[in-house]
Amino acid sequence: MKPVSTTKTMIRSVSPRNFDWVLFPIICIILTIGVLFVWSASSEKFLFKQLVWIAMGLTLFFILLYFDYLSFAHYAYIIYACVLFLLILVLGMGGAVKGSQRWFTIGSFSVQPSEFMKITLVLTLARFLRYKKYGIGLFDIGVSLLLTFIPMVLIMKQPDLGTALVLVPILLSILYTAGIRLYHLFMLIGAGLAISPLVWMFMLKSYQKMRIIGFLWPEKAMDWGAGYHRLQSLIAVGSGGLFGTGWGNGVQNQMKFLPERHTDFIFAVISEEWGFLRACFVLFLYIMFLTCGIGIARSTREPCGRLIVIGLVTMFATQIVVNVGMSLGIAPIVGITLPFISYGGSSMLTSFIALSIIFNIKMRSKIDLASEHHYKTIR
Amino acid sequence: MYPYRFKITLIIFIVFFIGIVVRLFQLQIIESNKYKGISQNRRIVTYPLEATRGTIFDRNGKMLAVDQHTFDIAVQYKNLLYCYVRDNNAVSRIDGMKVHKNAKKTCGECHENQDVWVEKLSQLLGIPQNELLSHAKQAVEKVERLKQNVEQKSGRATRIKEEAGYYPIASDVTWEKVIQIEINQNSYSGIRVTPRPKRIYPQQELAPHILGYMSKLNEKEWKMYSDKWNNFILSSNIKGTDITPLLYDGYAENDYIGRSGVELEYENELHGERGKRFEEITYKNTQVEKVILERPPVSGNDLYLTIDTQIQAYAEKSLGKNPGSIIVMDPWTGEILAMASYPCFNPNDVNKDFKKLIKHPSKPFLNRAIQGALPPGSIFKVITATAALSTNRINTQTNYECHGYTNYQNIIFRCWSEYGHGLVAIQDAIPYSCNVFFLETAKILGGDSLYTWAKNFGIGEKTGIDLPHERSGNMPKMTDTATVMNVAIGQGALLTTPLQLARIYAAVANGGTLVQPHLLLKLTDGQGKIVRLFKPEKKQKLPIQPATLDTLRTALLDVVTRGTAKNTGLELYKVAGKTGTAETGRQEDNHAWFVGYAPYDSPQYCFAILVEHTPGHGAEITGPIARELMSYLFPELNEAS
Repeated sequence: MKPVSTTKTMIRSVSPRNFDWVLFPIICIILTIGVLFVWSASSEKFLFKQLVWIAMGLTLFFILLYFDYLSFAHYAYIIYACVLFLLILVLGMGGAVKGSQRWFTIGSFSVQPSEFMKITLVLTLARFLRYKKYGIGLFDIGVSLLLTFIPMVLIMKQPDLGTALVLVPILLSILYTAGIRLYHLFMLIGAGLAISPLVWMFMLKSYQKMRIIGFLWPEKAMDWGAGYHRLQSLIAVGSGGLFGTGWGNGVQNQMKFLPERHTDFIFAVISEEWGFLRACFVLFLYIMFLTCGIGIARSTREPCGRLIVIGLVTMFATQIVVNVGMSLGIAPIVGITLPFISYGGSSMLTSFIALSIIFNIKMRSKIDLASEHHYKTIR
Repeated sequence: MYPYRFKITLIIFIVFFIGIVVRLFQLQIIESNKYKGISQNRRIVTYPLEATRGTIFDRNGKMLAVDQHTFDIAVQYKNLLYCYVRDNNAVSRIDGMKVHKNAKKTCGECHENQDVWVEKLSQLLGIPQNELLSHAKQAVEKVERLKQNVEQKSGRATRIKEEAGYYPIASDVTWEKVIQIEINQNSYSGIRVTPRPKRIYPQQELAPHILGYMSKLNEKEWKMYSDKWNNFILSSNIKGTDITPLLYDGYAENDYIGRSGVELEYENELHGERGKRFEEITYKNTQVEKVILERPPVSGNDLYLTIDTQIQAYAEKSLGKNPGSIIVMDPWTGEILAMASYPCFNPNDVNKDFKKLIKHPSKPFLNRAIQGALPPGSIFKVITATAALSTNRINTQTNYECHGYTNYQNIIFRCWSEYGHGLVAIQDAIPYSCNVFFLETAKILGGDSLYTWAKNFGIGEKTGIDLPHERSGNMPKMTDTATVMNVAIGQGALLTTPLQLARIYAAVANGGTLVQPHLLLKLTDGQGKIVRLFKPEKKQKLPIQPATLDTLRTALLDVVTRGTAKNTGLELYKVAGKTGTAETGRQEDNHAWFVGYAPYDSPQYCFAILVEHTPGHGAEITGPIARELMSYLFPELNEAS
């Protein structure tokens, strides 16, 4: 009787003490900076809306903490199927906006299933690969690839290149930490590079191709839009200098030359008005956040949880790197938001859901019953 | 378990971040000066690049409407402002500016001789200086108002980008004078020549109702268009890189749009897309630094009409100065070969004479072929005959005796012949246009089947021709027999357009198919590639027996050989048709019709001729017109006579 009860308490060790008191303040600082710059880049109206989104996000964050993350993982396949269905539906009937279909409109809300697909994919892959740590076979790799590529193709068709591309690092990082053999991993990456010309030919729309050409060879750019954005963003960042022009004084920002100031290019605003040192501070906050995330993954003994954490942290990292890279002209302009800073409801809520799952896993430190059992039987 | 893999993942992240910081360092510290200059001293100004509107051709490729390049002369804002300051000293803001300028005498290079342009342009163009200055005043006052608004909002003196622009001072400048400016660019500093397309109609008064005309958007319409555009942009969730709102403009303030005819119907196809040029200017002296981006304009699609210029000219000549219309149509395809309507106008002069034309009592803008709904008179008898024959109420043996009148419940209906036609069957009733026969037929036919057949033939419905503002006419519901009798001979509340009637006779000619009349032959893009061909939407086969059609055709031919239209000389041209006189109730005020097709054995043209408000009757008015038209259409038969 006694060992059983101890195992039980070990499984259900939920405690507020395990709430991450380092990570949470970091997020709060990032949020504050975000609110400041959304204000500077747009107006009080957007500031207010952003505050409402943050309040909603925080509420969702705390509500989701109440549930056991394993129950999310339990329903992962069903959630996956549902979101996939929504993606197909949005392709078929979603409101077409300038030729791209990403949005559902339910009442006055626009729902973007592709945003939720990122988290769903993490849960699904983690669920699928959780007990595979003693060796991932080619079959497992194949299924994971399939799980990733089906939504990826659908999202690309919308077309939303940015979100589709975020799925690739998620897959790679989860496979990597789940214990894929290294030569399999390199073969996978090699195959991906080999296939990319095919993707180029058959999957991408012409304006997406133009955008990538414009990034690789700016002088040949035919995509006026991306060229203009890139130029304006570089001017903004460059004129920031060491100390910046001061909050609310950025010429590029305030004169509205910088497009998408409060969403995709907010890092350019931060760089212009705060300068090099404080922009680096923002980057430092983000790297702290990622380090904490990976720390949580390391200290989690339950395999599903650690895979989920690593997947979500990779999601954040990719978004941060690509978004900042976009502002600095070293990544193609694909339309990815900066987590917790960019204006926007969909992205804010997705970020908070992902964060909530990370905290959830940290608070419910479970032991890996399967592996314990395995060890015992080996012994 | 691979604990080190977490570390490696973190290291990969950190490597990426280090890359970012290095790039940030490069941009913000090393290359900072390069960018600082740009954002503080330079602005990007955009100029629209006008798109050429699509050309309109006839079916043989003859030009009907084309964009011709004329030139506008625009002057830099600071020069306009200088003259404005010189002429209106009272404005306080400008006083302040003068003081400011006196304090900064160093910049003589760009503040000298700012009023030379007035004299020079006045000399070159032969326009008095006052006129140029008044244009300048308008532009300056507009910009200054804008500037005041901006300054009030920001609470400090600012420069707005409108101040760096060029404003049109003279338009429609000829090529020779433009060359003068281009050659001596140095002496015409601050003056810019911008080409602007102008619509001209090389055939002058040919087919103005089909082509339509163009005019400037008024302020309200422009607001509506730009609001529509802005709302479209704002409501769409355009993601980060979508440049659409920046690069594309809807209509601009001084744009011309099609107001009638195919210019309006195919506005979206013809219009094209205006391009945009982004120029970088230095703020100090508002000089253009370089062109950053240029999105070339896309010209509109070229429109080919089914109209044959030659036949159109014949039709207009035949119609002469009679108020009315002539339609010539291919009975098999519904292609409109000619559509003349008089009184007409010259689309080249519309904007000059607009007020006069719109108020003119003869309504020159009215396209009588599709917008004039009139009672069809005897033309309608073909429908009554078809309905009665098809429902077997009468056959070719049915006879009625015509005494010159018939009565129904003490109402007397007269035939046009006072003495009556004697004993008539359908073979004679149509050629002699005997009212009594059709009145008697109407009694046994009943309102419902006549209504159904009239609807089958498209009476009371738009034909769907690709022209705006088509009238549908009226097919009345008939409840009592007296009304049915009245409608059966084409009177009463019945209203039809010439096009509807032409289509009905085309159906008789081609074996019972109701074609869709149309003007569109094809739309081609700039390279001559076909963008769109005409696709018939409605083309329906009517349930008419071949025997009925034969009876009708023979009867229609007899109209010309021995009936109401004999002795008009139309026999020679193998015409089959029907005359009609619609009474308006007033004496000496009738509408004379002639609708038919030719040649009767292999129909090639189907036509409808209408002369409105004439004292005469059917054939005596329209017969000579039809003969003239036929003599043009079949010149080979002409020589035989």
